Amino acid sequence: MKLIVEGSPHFAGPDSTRKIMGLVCLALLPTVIAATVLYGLAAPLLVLVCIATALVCEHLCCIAMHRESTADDFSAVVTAMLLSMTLPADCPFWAGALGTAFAIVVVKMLFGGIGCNIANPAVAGRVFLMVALPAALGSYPAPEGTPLDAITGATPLAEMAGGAHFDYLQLFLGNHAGALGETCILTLLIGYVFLLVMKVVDAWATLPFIGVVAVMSLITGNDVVAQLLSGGLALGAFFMATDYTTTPTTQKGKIIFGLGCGLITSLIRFFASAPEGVAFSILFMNMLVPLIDKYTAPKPEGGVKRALV
Amino acid sequence: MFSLHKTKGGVHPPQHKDTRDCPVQYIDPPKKVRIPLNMHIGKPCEPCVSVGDHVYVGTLIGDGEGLYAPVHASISGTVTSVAVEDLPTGQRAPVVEIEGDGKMDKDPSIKKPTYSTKEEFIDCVRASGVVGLGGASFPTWFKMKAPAGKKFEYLLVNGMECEPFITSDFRQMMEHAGRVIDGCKRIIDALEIPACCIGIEDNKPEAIELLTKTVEEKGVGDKIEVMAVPTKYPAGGEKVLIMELTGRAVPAGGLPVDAGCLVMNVTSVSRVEEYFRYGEPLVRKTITVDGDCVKNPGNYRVPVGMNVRDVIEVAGGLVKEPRKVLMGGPMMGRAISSLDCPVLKANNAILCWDDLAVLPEQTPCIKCGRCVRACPLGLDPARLAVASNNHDLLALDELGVMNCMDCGSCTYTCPAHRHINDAIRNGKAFYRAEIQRLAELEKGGE
Repeated sequence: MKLIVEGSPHFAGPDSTRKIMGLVCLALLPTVIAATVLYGLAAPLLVLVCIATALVCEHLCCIAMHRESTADDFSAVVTAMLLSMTLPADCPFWAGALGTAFAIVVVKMLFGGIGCNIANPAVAGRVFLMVALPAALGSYPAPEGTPLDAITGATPLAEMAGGAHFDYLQLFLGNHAGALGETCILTLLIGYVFLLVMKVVDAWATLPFIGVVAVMSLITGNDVVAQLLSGGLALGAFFMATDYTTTPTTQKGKIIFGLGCGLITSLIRFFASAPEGVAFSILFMNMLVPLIDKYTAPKPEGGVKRALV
Repeated sequence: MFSLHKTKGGVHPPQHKDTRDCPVQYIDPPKKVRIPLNMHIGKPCEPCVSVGDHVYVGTLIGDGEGLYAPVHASISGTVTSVAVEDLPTGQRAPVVEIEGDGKMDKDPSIKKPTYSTKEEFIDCVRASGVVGLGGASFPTWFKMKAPAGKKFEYLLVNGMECEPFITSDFRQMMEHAGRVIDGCKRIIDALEIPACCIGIEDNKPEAIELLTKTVEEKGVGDKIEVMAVPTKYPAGGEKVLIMELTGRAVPAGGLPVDAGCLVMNVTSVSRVEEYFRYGEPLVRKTITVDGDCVKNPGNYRVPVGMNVRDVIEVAGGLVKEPRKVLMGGPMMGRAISSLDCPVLKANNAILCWDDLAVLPEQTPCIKCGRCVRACPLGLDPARLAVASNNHDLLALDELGVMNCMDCGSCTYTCPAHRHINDAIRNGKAFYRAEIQRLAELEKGGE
């Protein structure tokens, strides 16, 4: 009789990386459907192109790195879905693929693969495309067959900078020009609440993020509701500021992270020349995570009896 | 007297308390026992019998000094071997082998112990051979000695049994409620402890009800209180229990007495009382035998040193070949390499698994922070594991590696199934050795 001998515990909990990542994909699905309704078949096709690129890149990287492939753990799918959602629906497929390849190869795998990246790959991929291919991301198509006066070309945030006003309900439903996965707040909210209920994410970073943007809008005399309902705020606060690897681990750390994201987003939105700052704010705060983690480390019960120092 | 306090972390593994309604069964004595002499924390005992000696049930076979607990023969018969052996638990210890004569004669020199002072009481507890029976196996007499300047304010009796599968403490409470309460009363009287609290997880309402009733019947409600504690693993960890019932944290590197507490497992209390009533030292142990490979799962009272293989035979044998056999519960128990392994004093379960034997593959850490939230002691398991794997002595020191009590909540909750607890265990061993080496270097330098 050959018995397995290993250290305790001999029970494993019900969660797994694959399950968690799968749930995140599931939570993003309603938004993909909304994007299909709003912007037509180009939207889901772009998402699929990004997913395929991500899987191929991750698999090839693993082969090159002589390690078991992590392409099947759904984390690359999450990255691809998130990245594609920050793109306009008419973004050329090759541009989407290029951004995804950058996200997976440079931002994720070169830093050591899942769990080791210091920046959120989707956000970094998006920023890469913004800088490298401003033309491809320059215009945002309006929803198909919109009964309203079509809002074309400029996004609400860009328009708001010019003093325009918007119907809150249409903003909430995403019935305006914008990136394919950023506009429909309703479906993003459904996905986020689903993840909250499944205990995959929490609200410790999300609420301060949104809260600070709201307060800053109020202080600067902007339309608070419109500010919260437009741009990449919902996608960023719900799905990117809750990423495990690139955000702090403790409650306190997450609050600091959220506050920082909110502040930087507001500074860019209200005081800089760019209309949107969610991606930059998350990227910047990603870089501060090790520092935040260091100063918000949990305090052991009963203190620590140090033998050195 | 007592109220519940908030504790950090914890996890909720499936309970599997399938043997809770299985009364303790007494069994025929085995033909042979092998009794290790290191069934306690501290120095192993020196054997005080030699090959050919005749022993009775309760005859002293191993004694020592300092931090130790004496060891007694668990069956009557002849000593056939005294040798240092490697045990399937991974330990190495002197082992006394006794070939039974089937009579189970009690040692004629055994008599009911008497005491009049605290010191005499503690000496009696030492002679009983009782150790922490919840699994920690710390010599009970030793922890009853409060160091100068410190005193016990509370006796906390641990009836939590938060490990899945195990029901032996539950059966002890259900079948010997009077003995448990008498034991509490005896200990607090002898050691002049003002108050006693028996903590029981609220998944055992029958035990809570029965002990509460017994306390009332015996009229000791002014000193002894039974508390229902929310079910959560590891609510029965010593430091966690103290936090729960008193709100106090044991200072790092300290003992429960530093928080004014004496903590005893409910079965330990019962066995101490048994010793004072009948004079028989700790030679038998109630063990939960369970798992999908066992024909008749249940609770069995077996002599210490009985072979696991024989115990399983008593429980109807195996219905299929197990792939993993645990001594203890799934969270903190030890996987043994062979069924030819003696039952130890602090063992409370034997689990033979096929269905649960294989754990999921380990994948990279995704820094989700679940282990940090699960740690009942407020440690950072992920960072401790990294520091352990890197042999980073300074980080281990800073993060308080020695605070870890090995509860395994971090590994259980990890979605990447990282062997966090394993790594930290190695980190502790490394840390201990390095600190000792540094101390010796310093001494040598002077």
